[in-house]
Amino acid sequence: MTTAPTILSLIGFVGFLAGLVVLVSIPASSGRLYNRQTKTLIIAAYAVYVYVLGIDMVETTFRGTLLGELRSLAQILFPIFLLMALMSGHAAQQMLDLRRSQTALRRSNEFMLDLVDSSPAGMLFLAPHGLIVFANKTAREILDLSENPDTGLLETAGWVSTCSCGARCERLECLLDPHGPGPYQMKIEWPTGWTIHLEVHTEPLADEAGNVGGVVATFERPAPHMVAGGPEAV
Amino acid sequence: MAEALALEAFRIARLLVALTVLPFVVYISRDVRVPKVIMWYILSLVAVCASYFFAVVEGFAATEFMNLMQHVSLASAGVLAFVGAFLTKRQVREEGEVS
Repeated sequence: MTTAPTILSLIGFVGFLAGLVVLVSIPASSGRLYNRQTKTLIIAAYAVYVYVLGIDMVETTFRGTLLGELRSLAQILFPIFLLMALMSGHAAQQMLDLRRSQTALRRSNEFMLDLVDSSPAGMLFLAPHGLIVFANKTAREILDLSENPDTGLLETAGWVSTCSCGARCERLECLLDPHGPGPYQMKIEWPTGWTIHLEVHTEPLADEAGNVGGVVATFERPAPHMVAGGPEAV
Repeated sequence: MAEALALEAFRIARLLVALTVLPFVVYISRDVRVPKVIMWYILSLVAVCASYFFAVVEGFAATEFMNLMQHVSLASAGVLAFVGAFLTKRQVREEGEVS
């Protein structure tokens, strides 16, 4: 005889079974909330109740059998599977957020680099130990800088710079020590005799504690009358 | 008698497990970006917890009524679970259209 609990079990069974079919039909894709792990776990949770309510409807057939006894035990798994599915979805979402922010950061970095590179002014960054850590395209052209493939550092073509204060250095180290009001007049001499004169503006970069982390130097492309000597073209 | 006690102890343990899991589910779901979908799963879990509760009470009082309430809860859990699955499908489809 059909009783109210049996009808209610049937409603629940149909609900979970229909839900199970819908969940199976959803394509899982990696990098999404509904990924393969989430799908497996949520389907397992639904399957528990399809099984439990299915057995419930024909209880008399399974009473005293292993399948009938497992019914109660299986019910414990539903909340656990649901929690695991949610945790899996949550982890996927965090990974997705991380990947998106990394992409945004990379794009922003590339954009800034393009912006600096396309500047008509030469721009370089001197580390506190005097090495040229970064130079934009214009600065590389003017100062004939090349990247060492082994170290990744920028190397000069052997030129020597002379500051208006009289200091001579192999790179542009004297710019690290502020000496008088800028801009500084720098003479760059290549071993071939090629010479250019640059007007260099500097801006020290310091952290909140005041520790100087390096100097940003900017200069314009030298005018033809400020270039003299050897065969190199600027 | 011993068998009935064992069954009751099991039902209480089952309820305790579900009630332990429930706050974690609610807590994690706050950070998930599809709250309208997750809500249906949580409601389904709440309905299942209610059925566990009625199963425990069934052993002490109003056996017939509590049994009926237990089945009502499970039927509701099934319906809510279906709605959750359906909304998940819709959400995944919308995500696919956006990307």
